[in-house]
Amino acid sequence: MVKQERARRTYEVILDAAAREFVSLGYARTTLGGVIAHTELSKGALYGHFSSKEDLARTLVRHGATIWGAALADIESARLAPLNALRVLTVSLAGRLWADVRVRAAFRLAAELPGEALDGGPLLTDVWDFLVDSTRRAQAAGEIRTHCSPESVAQLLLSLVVGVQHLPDPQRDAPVKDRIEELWIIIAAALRSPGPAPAPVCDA
Amino acid sequence: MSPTSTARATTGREPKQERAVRTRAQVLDTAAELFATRGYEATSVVDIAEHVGMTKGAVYFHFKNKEAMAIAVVENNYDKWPTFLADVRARDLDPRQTILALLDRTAEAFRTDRTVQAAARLQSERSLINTPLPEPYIGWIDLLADLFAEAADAGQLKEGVPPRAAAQIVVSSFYGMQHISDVLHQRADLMERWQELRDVTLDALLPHD
Repeated sequence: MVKQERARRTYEVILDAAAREFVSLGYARTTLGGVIAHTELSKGALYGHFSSKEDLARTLVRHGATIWGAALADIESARLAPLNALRVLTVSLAGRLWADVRVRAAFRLAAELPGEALDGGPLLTDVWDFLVDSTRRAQAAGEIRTHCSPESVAQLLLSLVVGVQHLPDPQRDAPVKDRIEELWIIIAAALRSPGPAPAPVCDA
Repeated sequence: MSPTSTARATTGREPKQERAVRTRAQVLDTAAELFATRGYEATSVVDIAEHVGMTKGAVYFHFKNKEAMAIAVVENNYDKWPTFLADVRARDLDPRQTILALLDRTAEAFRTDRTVQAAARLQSERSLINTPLPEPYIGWIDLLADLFAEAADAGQLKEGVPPRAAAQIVVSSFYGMQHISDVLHQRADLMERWQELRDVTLDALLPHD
């Protein structure tokens, strides 16, 4: 039992260390040596749990897909009004990424290594499709101005979710969820305004 | 420096102090180049010394270690924003156009300026760096908040939007945008992505009349 418990702890430590490396350096630059250097473990301990860098990456993407997949399914099944759905998704994704370095790693890996190699494709495309689709519906419902493409609104929200992870926190301890919620209210108001027809700059 | 030593220095070869300043700047440029392309961990003081053509000892004369170089690169990056703003100010634009021109200039810097790229990279590698770096992007937010306040005074900021919140939205989404562009395409599509973000975000915050 004690031995099993120790093995489990080792597994968790390695996975967190790997997640931090992948988040900071990306897949190509991450090395198993680097992962180990940030733990008090030996390379042998790592190989006892993971056969390779690919194995670590795949495990993390699977973790991200499980955690985030469940969250996304909850949001989808709540059948929220489109603008509210965008808010809930934005706030919830920012909070998850902030709270869980493994989810953060999963998203970066899925972005860097698209396709089937890691099975991470759906992680990103599901979020993207949800953002684009909800924006389109919000535009149809008159909740968001129509002169910008749904893709450009999706890009703004995704950039914001990523950006707040790095932004200095003026209130120090305010959770990222609260911060993005505050910003969201302002963005939603700004996007809602009908305003006079502007130059056709957003048909990208 | 005493008056006599100043006099002596100006009559002779390059003043010692100036040479030291120039050397320090060279070391820092090289450090930025390597931090930007290889990352913090994969760069050593020896690498930097070799690239700049100096001995390790000479480099250590200017910086006590790699951490100090990282901090100096980030500080160098902060010093850029006021310079960019001064350039844009000289064009005498209205607040809305000033903000847009400043951000265009910034996007260009993220695409081409090694110091700016190095600072962004150090920021994303923060958790692996053993020293606290200066607070990221605080100065940039302050500077933009002032500009958005000017836009508000000119009636150009969307009603009800606090200038500081507008600055936070712009800086966060800008940083996120360039990070995604870096991860996916090594910033090759940065200007297109910026254009897209500019059109949707700035147009919402600073609507056309």
